[in-house]
Amino acid sequence: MKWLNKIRIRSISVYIVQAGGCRDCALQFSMALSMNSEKKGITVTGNPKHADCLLVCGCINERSKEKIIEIYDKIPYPKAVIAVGACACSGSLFRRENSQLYAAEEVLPVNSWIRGCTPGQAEILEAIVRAMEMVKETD
Amino acid sequence: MLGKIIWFFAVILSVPVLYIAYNFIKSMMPGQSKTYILQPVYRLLKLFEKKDENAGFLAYFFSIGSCLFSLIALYMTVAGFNFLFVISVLSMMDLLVITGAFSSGDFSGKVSAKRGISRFIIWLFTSIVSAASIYQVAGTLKLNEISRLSESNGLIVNLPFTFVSLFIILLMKGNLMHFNFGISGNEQSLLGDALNSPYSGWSLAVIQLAQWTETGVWLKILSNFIPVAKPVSYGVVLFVFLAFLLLDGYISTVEWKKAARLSWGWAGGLAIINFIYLFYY
Repeated sequence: MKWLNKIRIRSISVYIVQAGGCRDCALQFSMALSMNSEKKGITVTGNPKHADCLLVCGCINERSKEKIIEIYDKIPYPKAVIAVGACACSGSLFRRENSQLYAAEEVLPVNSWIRGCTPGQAEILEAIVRAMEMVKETD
Repeated sequence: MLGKIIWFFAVILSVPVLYIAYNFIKSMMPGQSKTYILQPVYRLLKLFEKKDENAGFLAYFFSIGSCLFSLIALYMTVAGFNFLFVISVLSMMDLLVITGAFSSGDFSGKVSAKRGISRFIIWLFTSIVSAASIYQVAGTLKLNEISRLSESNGLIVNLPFTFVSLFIILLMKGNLMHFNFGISGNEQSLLGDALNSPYSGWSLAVIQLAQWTETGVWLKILSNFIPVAKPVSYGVVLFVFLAFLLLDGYISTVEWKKAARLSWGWAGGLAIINFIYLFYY
């Protein structure tokens, strides 16, 4: 239903996972929210059960992998996963040194990738809205 | 009877309208986060269409139960029942939310239940002491009698601190100001209660409806103390609550244990001061 999709993208609760790394992507997102306000209806939640969208930032290692899957399972459908930054998208240059790192798509079904180190603030907000638009009820 | 039904639905609708007005005013204020004006409604509808595969029967049972009790409490309030009856029904509602959080079995649910119990004890104690003060002044606890006496005799003159302590209960319920028992400052205030609990999706939407109704109950109880006609007094209380909602955006949140200490001091303390004054002076 079109109106339901419209509502879904006007109230998006985001849960941020900092898998490892410099935390700059998570900071960029926080800054994007504070600077662009909550214009797009995006809010941060501290509970995966209330979230619609999982934002994965940083390199995923063996320890954080299990926790991320656990968090993903707790988010109710429909849900979207967004990989933010080069580390989450591909493991970045750290992966060359350490084979125990994973890209987000190797762990979770990723809906959207925001590349760059670090990605732009406006791009992060735009990607969240677009990902939620594309998510179907059955996911 | 028709009047009661009109009041019942007016109170139910007034709280979401209040939050819509809050979003509208907030979007015009400098330095405050801007969002869609109908955001609370969008959020509610979104929650109703979400599906949580992990949610068990208990999550639905406790959320529906709490919503039912809040509606009963609202009917009792608009019908002018005894204040203590309304308090007991609201206690049942609160206990169902807390039990639901505790029944999740995981650590976060227990943390949420701990905060819920702490708040429950404070508001129940304050309500009972306030009831004793109200009985001393009015000679009755029936809300319609209290409303009538307020209009004719101005009960609030003898119950100023009791009124303030009851208003602080409202702030505690809405997770506002320094009486915020929620976990995340970024979360919409009314959802803070169910944070880190088994509620999500459909059951969380029902909990939100219950919390809106509960806010309406407290607003209606408080309006009985304002010495003007019923609709005007309700409008005054709504306006004051809206002012505190907006003020909350400029006040930093405190750690929940400090919020509990402040709630004891302000809500419980003021209720006791008024009680002692009425009995001994």
